[in-house]
Amino acid sequence: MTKGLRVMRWLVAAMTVLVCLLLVWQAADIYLTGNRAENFSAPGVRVEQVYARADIAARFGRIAPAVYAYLALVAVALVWQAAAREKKPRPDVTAPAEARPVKRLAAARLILLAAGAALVVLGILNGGARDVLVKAVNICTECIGLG
Amino acid sequence: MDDLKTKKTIRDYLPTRRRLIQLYAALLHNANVKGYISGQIFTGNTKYLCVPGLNCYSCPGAVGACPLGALQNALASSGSRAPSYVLGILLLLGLTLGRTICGYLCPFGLIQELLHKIPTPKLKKNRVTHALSYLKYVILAVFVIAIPLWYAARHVPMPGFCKYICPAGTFEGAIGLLANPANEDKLSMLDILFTRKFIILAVVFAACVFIYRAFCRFLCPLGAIYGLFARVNLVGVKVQQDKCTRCGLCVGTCKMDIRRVGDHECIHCGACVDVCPTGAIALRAGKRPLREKKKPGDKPGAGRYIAWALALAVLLGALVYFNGPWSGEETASESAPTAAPVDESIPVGPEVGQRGPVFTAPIYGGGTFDLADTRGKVTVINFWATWCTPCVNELPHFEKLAQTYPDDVAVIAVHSDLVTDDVDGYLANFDYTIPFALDDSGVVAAYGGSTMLPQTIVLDRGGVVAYNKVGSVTYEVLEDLVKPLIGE
Repeated sequence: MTKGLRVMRWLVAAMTVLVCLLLVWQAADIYLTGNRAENFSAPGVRVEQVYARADIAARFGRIAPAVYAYLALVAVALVWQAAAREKKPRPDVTAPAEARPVKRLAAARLILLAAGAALVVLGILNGGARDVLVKAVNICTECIGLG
Repeated sequence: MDDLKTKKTIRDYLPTRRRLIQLYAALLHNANVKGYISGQIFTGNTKYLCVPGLNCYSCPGAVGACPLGALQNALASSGSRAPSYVLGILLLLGLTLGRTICGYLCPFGLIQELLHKIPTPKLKKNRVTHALSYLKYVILAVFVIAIPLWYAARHVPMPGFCKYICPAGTFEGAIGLLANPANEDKLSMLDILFTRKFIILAVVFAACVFIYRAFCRFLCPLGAIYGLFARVNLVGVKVQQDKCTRCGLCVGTCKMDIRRVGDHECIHCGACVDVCPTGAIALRAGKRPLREKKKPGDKPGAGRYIAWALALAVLLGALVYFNGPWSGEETASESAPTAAPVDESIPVGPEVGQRGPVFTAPIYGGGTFDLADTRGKVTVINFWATWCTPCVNELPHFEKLAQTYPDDVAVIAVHSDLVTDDVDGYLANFDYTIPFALDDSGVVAAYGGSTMLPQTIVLDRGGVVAYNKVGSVTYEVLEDLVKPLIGE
């Protein structure tokens, strides 16, 4: 690997951490701003919602140059790395290999297969399959982090 | 010569067969493309089935159920029925494919690998990463099993991993939905939960840039479950012991924290197949080799082309099926309730300022609720379900509201028509006095609800909608909503 590419990789690494920190900082700041005392008209009642699209857009606008610069840097680094691709030397590591269990494997598989099929049939009969459908076609807002 | 060199150069930069299979699987997991445009999730019957990989079922594109989410919910409902269906599916998936799913089929695994392509110095596996690889078993035991069971004993459905950790849910579900302007009103729900999960997502993504499959190796409980089948799974990389020279190149080349090829950390990606100097390693389905070390002059057989043609036909069929006009039929009834016989000049509808559609619904425990009977009172309608964590957590607020303003406020809790538990039995555990009805006539749909719970609607004394939002509410918020309407 050339020295230039090595420097580029460290630069991308630093930018990755920077962009991550910027995003984390913005999320934390939005939350803290939305929960400041002045934003409550009564205990538990906010004047304005914590996350508003206009606010998110404005904040992203401020960090956008860094994000775009990061994406451009990643693109350049990817192209550079592809152009300078070289075969990796094989590592010299040794580790003992163990024999896979062969005896009784087929029997174990058959038992597990039968058990799996029986559980699925039982689940269909006891309504478990419908439970899966019900949960999957509805959104529990808290479960995906919306609140 | 130049032609050969050009061909080789092109081949070097083409995606590998594994990458193509990963892309294919990601697309098949998320074949409901029109969901990304409408901002709605798919509600068809294919969601009876659990997909093999980690793919949030609240992603607008998802056409199947996430096995991990389904498992947590099944455990949360284990008081009323045994979680045999999900366990059976996981058993069958683990037995047949095991962690080959992680290496070839998991959409979140693909995302992690693509992030790792970003050129930065990489952290290679070492003793620390090896120790950390056991963390996912702790997460499996605590967040996927213990927390749902502990809360289930208290009649609260709590998918601990989804709620507190899952970055796939944040990325595919929450951000996937919020990115669509059609869901702009859902931004009002975001608070500490989203902030915390967004930070987890950002850290996981950043970690994946530096560490190969950081989430998969250290945190993913689904990988931990499939890893339990390492000794018996049918499809995976296998070593012919008579050919093996114990050189260790396979383990040295592998980026996962394996101790030997095919163990519980191995995702069967096949990176070791090509480096094995004796060709002892092959990806096999039972005894049948699927991928072996290339020999000079090897050419792909016709079988591979037939397999790809079949796979593409399946994908095309799936895209047509899930995105055609017949797909995603609503599971809820759409019959519109009748309009209230008050102030005919105001149009009937679910929006604020419109006249709320009048409905009747059977009450649990006997009787019928008729919205028309509540005219003259401020009416609070809550859509909930026994399987919805925030719904059951906020029920006491509605009870308290009804107790505080018995003369001015009427409260009705309407259970979604998708019932998974014995609601009567569930309610018997509490001393609620508010009426609980079942949505058997499309009440949720009439009030603009679709697939998100909980939802709260407040009607003024004349039946006009004053508030209609999805998301949890506190008692303070409810009181703040009804006070101006009752004239306090």
